[in-house]
Amino acid sequence: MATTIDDQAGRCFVLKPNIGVYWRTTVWVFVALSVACLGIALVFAAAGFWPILPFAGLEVIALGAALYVSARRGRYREVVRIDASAVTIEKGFKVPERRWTFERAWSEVCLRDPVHRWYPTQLTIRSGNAEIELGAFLTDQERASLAAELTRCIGPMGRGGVDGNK
Amino acid sequence: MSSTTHDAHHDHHDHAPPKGMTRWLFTTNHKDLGVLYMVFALIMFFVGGAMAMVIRAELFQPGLNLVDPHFFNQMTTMHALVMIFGAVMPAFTGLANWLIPVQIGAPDMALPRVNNWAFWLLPAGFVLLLLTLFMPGGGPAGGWTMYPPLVLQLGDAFPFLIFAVHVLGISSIMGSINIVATILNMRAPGMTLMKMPLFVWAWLITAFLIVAVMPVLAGAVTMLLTDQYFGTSFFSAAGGGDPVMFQHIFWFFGHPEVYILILPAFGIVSAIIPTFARKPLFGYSSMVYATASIAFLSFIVWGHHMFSVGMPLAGQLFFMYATMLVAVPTGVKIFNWMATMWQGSMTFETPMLFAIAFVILFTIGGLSGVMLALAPVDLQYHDTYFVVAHFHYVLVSGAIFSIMAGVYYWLPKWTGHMYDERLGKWHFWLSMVSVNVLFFPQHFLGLAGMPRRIPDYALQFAEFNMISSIGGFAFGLSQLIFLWVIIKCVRGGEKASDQVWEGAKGLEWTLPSPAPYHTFETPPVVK
Repeated sequence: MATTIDDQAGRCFVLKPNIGVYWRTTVWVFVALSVACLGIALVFAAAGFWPILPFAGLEVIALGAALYVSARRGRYREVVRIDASAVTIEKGFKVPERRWTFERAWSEVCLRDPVHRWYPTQLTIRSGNAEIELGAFLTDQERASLAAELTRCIGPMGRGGVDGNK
Repeated sequence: MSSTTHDAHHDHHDHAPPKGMTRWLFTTNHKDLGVLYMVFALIMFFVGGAMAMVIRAELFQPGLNLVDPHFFNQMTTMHALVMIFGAVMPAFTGLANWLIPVQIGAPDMALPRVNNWAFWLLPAGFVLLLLTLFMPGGGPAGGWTMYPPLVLQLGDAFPFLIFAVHVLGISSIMGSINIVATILNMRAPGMTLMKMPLFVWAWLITAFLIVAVMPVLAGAVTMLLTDQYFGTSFFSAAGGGDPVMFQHIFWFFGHPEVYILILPAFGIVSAIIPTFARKPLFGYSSMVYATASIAFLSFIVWGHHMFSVGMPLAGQLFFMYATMLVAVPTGVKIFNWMATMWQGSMTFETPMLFAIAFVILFTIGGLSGVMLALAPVDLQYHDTYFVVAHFHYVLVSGAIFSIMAGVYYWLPKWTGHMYDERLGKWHFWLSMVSVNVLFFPQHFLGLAGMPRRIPDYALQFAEFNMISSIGGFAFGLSQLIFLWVIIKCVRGGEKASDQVWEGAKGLEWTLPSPAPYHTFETPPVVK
């Protein structure tokens, strides 16, 4: 999902996956499952049937990894700020972890068709040799809509001004 | 400051899926994988059913000798393994794949590639398992419980059996982890846990059980393998081990496994009954807590499978009372379903018929379970046809009837066509009558002392066995109608509306019929 915020400094696009985040519940369920799984395995191991323990350990690791990967995905954000002279792209989980700044007038929005229809379209902002992909988690329609909106305010020699074609 | 949201605003656009075999091989789409799971389960249902036909043909009359007794034992063992791990579990997983994302408003499962691997391990595991029938010494014949030392006499097929169990276990674990991750991390905003449909709740608890007990099975069969080939003595009395401990470990897995096979059925029936009673489900919260209670109790009742092995009086009493406690949350569920139907504007379409039959016949199976829970009398019932009748009432007229109810209920949403109601009703009534002709006489056989897993029997059991076999053949033939109804519905028929059933509630009914290839790419509003 892409949200646009307009203020005096310019325009800001916030992109986030379409996932609700229930981090606390996830942690509780993981702890409960791990305690059950490892507890059972430890009791059997104590009785001499230790081969159950490595299977339980592997499973808890796999479960933890799966929950972490899927929960973390919901916290991912991409923010595109556009002011009078610059386009700033920030990406990260919770806090900006990577940042790129381009000259607005020398930046370009590209929406590429997929190499095969199985794959999604690709939206990028490029300037000089640098090219940054945006909204890989969006749907094709959302990417197309966002690309159109970005193109109005970014583009060769500032096609439409900071506030687009408003 | 102003703010706008760039949603696609056409949630129901349909990207055409890729065509050909590669679509099915490489698909990560939850609906495709749901279909694959269910088609696989249907094939396995007929494979396991064919084995059941062999069993019932051999038992039609005493002294028939249609098949070699060793082959008969392979059939009883493989029938159980195929039906449990190949038919019922994959059918429920298929329903989960198809329905959980659309019921919680998610675009797909949390880990789509894992989902693909989890499915394709399943046919690989079953090819391995079924090929053992053609190996020197034949396939597994010592029962699906794989008790040592009997299972160690298996021959060349033994390591393949163990490997197949591992592969199927990995598939189950991957599927369950994916379901847990999907339910916890992919719900639409506003979809709190206590707003989830009961099918989703039932699956969350089922996945919890699978994750908790599958390592126990994996460890147990690995210990069998090391006892056989690597000189360990976990279960070998000759080396200081204890074969009875295998039974404890197996049933510590096995009893929760039984509930793994029935909890999703509770979820399906809890969706269908309110729809056709046109009333909200009575006691939603108590249904959730009852399901969780049944799951908890499943961990502390394994000993009731082993009363006849011998255990201290305190152990017998503990397992007896703990097992009888299961009747309490189960009773809560049954009375809630009855209260939901009470004074409802009921109609009796095929899904509702199967759901009502489930409630009645599952209750019969549950009550014979309470009889088996009584340690003093279990010594009489143990390893007799009474047990066979009990678990088939729970698993066939319970789990499988609920799956059939679910297929009839959601088939119009999957295919976009209404199924043939007349044929559906024929399928129901033939199944309903034949399943009782098949399994009810087995209670009497068991009470009269006929042991299970025998290829021949004494003359006094002849009549009831013949009746049971006739019921078996009729039940088997009735399922061809089910197959035809599905094929007919996939190929065409009356166009289904989006709502399909007048009283249906839930996010899946907000989608068009058939549901688009991609759904809820923008989260729905959950009130």
